[in-house]
Amino acid sequence: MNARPASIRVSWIVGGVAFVLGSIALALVIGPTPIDRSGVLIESFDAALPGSFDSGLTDQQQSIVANLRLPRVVLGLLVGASLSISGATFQGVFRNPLADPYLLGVAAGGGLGATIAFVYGLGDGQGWFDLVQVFAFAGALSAVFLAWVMGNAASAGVTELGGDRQSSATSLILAGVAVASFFTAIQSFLQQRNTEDIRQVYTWLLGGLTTSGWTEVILLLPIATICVALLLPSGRMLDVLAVGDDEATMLGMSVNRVRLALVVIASLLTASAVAVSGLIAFVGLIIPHTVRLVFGSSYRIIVPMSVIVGAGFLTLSDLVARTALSPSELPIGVVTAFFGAPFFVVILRTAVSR
Amino acid sequence: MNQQMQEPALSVTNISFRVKEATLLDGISFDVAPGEWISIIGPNGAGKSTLLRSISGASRARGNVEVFGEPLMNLAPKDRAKRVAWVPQTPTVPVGMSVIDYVLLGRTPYLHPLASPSKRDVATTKDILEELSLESFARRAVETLSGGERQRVVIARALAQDTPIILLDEPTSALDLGHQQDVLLRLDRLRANGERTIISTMHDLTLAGHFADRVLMLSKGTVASIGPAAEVLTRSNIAEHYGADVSITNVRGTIVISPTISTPSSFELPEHFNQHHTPPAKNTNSETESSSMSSDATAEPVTETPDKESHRVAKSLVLVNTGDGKGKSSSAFGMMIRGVARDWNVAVVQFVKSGDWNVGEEKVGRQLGVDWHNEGDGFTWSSDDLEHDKAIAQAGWDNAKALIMAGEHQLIILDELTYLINWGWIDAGPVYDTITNRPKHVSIVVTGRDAPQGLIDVADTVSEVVKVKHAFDNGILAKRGLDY
Repeated sequence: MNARPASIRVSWIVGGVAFVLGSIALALVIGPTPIDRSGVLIESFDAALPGSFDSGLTDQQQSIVANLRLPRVVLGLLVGASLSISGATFQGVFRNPLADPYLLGVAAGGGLGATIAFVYGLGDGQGWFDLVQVFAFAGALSAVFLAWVMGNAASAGVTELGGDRQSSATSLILAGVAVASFFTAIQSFLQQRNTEDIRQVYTWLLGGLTTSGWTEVILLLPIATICVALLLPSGRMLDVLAVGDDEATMLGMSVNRVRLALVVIASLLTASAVAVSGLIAFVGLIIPHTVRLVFGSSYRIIVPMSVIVGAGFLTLSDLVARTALSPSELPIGVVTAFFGAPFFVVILRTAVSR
Repeated sequence: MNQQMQEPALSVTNISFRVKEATLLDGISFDVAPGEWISIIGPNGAGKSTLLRSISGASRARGNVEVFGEPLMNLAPKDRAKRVAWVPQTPTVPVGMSVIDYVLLGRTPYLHPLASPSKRDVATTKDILEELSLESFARRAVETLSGGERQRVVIARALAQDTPIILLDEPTSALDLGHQQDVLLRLDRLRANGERTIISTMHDLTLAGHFADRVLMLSKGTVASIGPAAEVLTRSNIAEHYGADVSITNVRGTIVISPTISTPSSFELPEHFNQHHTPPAKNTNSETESSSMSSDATAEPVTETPDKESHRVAKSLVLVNTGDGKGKSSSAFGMMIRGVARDWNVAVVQFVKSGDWNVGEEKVGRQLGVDWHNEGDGFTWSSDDLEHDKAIAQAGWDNAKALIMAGEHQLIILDELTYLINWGWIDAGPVYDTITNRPKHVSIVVTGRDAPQGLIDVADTVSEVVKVKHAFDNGILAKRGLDY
C-alpha cells in the first residue's frame, strides 16, 4: 500500500516561498518615489546585514528603502501570517470553516479600545507603546476573555443537564457574538458622541500598515514568532478535534485544555496584529479556506501553508493599497476584500468542479 | 467457562446516571471476561447508549468501571483511550479526510500533543487497514464511502487505538443484511485470540444473541437479565420488557426471534368457508359440460349443502372471470386477498394497463407481499403501433408462462389476459397448454371480456359478470376507488 497520511509537500513550500519572495520584491521596488530597482533590492540586503552591500543609492533613497518600504513589507508579512494562522486555528477549534480570528470578539474589543484611546486623545496609533495600540490590544483580549468566561458558564449549565460536550464550542461562539455586539454598541456610542474623531477611528477600523519606522515590527515580531511557532505543530490536534469533542475525548485528547490553549495563543496573536494594523478584514477567513481548497483539508497542511500564503497575500494587498490611488492610500481592508472575495469565488468554483 | 476464575477484563460496578430528576441508569453491575463479547440489548430508552457512554467515560456517570482492575474514571483521557476504544453509532466524519488519516487518529493517545505521527504509527495504521481489507480505500475521503465501508473504517480507527476493550454502539444499525454479517464476522475474528473484549449495543436480537457470548438486557436503566442468549432471549422476557409478542425458534444453536404478526391466517374460519374451497362435483367434469357461458352457477355453492362424498379435493383450480359487466378484476383481487390470508405466495400479472391510471390495487397488493408484474406497461388502451404492441404482448405472456411454470406461487392472477388472445396478439394454443400443464399446486385466475371457448374448456370455474347497467353509459366517468 503506497497511501500516505496527509502531509505538506516540499514542492508546495518551495512554491510558497517563491511567491512570498516575489511579493516582497514587488512591494519593495514599487513606490511613489522612483528608485533604481536593483538598488532597492541590494539596499534591502544591506539593511538586513548592515555594511555588507553597496547599493549605490543616495542617502534619501536609502532611507526610503530602509525606513519606509522595508519595515512596511515586513509588517505586512507578519500581520498576514498571524491573521491567517489564527484563522486556521479558529476554524479548526470551532470546526467551522466560516470562523475567523475575530470570532470571539477580538475585532469588537480592539475597536472599542482604539476608539476610547482616540476620543480621549490618548494617542495617534503611531510610535512606541502608543496608547491606541495598548488599548486596542487590551480591548481585544478582554473581549475574548469575557466570551470565554460567559461561554463556559453557559455550557457548564448545559452539560449539567446532560447535554454533550459539543455544546461548549457553540456556547463559546454565541458568547463571542454577544460580547462583540455589546462592545460594538459602546464603540458606536462613543463614536457618535465624538464625531470629530470619526475619521481617525474609521481609518483605524479599516486597517492599514502605516508604519513609523521599525516600531510596529519590533513590537509584533517577538510575540508573533512565539505564537506562530506554537501553532505550527498544532495541525494534528485540530485534525483530531475535527471528529467532534466526544470522539476526540475518547481518542485521548483533553479537549477543553487543548481548545483553551489554542484559543489563547491565537487570540493573543490576533490581538497583537490588530494593535499594530487595525482591523484587516477577510484575510483570516479566506486564506485558510483557500489553502484548504487548493492543498487539502488536513490541518497539518492548512496551518503551515496559511502562514506562507497569508504573508504573501497581505504584502501584495498592501502594495495595491498604497499604489492604486497614489499618492493617497486605500485602506488595506478594502483591498483584501475587493480582491480576495472574487479570487475566493474562483477557487471555490474550481474546487467544486474538480 | 471460567469467568469467575480469571480477572475480568472489564468490571462495571454500580453505575448510575441521572439527568435532573430522571434516572437513566440505576446501579448497573456486571463483569466481562477477557475475549468475551457481550451484547447490550433493550427497548428504546432503556439506557443502552448511555451505559456504553458511561463505560467509555464520554458521560460522567457515578459508579466504578475497572479495566483489568484499574479504575477508569480517574484516568486522563489519554490513558483511558489506551484501554477503551469507542465506536460511536453516528461518527462525525470530517469533510475531505482520507481513510488513512482517519484511522491514524486512533494513534492519538500514543502521541505528544505537538508531535507528528511516527513511522511506526503509520505502519500500524496500514496493518489495520489491511486486516480489515481497506487498503484500496486508503486514499479515499471517508465521506465518499458506503455505509458498510465507512463502518469498517471507524472500527479500524478503534483498532488503531490498540485497546483491550472495544465498545461499539449499534455497529450494524445502518447496514444492510450482508454488511451486518460482514462487520459482525470481522469483529468476531478480531477477538479470536482473546486479546480483545467486545461490548456492543445491538438492536437486532437475533444477531445480538448469535454473535455475543452473553446478552445483557437493559430495561428502564437496570439489568433485567444477563446470561447466554437462550436464557435471556425468552418469550416472557421480551414480552415484559419490549411489550412485543414474538416467537422464538432455535435454529442449530442460534436463537431466532421473529415477531408474531396477527394475520387472518390464524383466525378461526367458519365451517362453510372451508367447504366452499372444496370444488363442487359438476366442476370436475366441466370439460364436457360447460359448453355454455352459463357455468357461473358454480359460483354459488355456498348456499348448497354439497354432498362431500361425491367430491374430490383438487390441488389447484383454474378460474375465469368474464362477461361485459363490472367486477371481473375486482373479484380476482378479492381472491388475491384470500390467498394472502392463507399465507400463499400470490402473483398478479396485469396485461393491459392505461398508462395514466394510477391503480390502487397494485399499491395495496405490493404492501401485502403480492408479487406484482405489469406486463402492460409498454402498451395501453390508446396505443397506435400494433406491431410494437404485439411484441410486448408476446413478451408479457412469456413472462407469465415462466412465472406459472416456476411453481413458486399458489395463486397467479392473469388480469385481462383474454384481450391478448382475442386480438390475436398471442397464440391461444400455448396459453391453454400452459394452463393445463401448470404445476399441480398453482391456481390460476384469468379475467377479461369474451373468454374464448378454449379457455373456458381448460377452466374449472367460469363466471360471467353480466352488465345490467353501467354508470359510463349514463355519462359518468370511471370513479377512483371503485373502478380503479
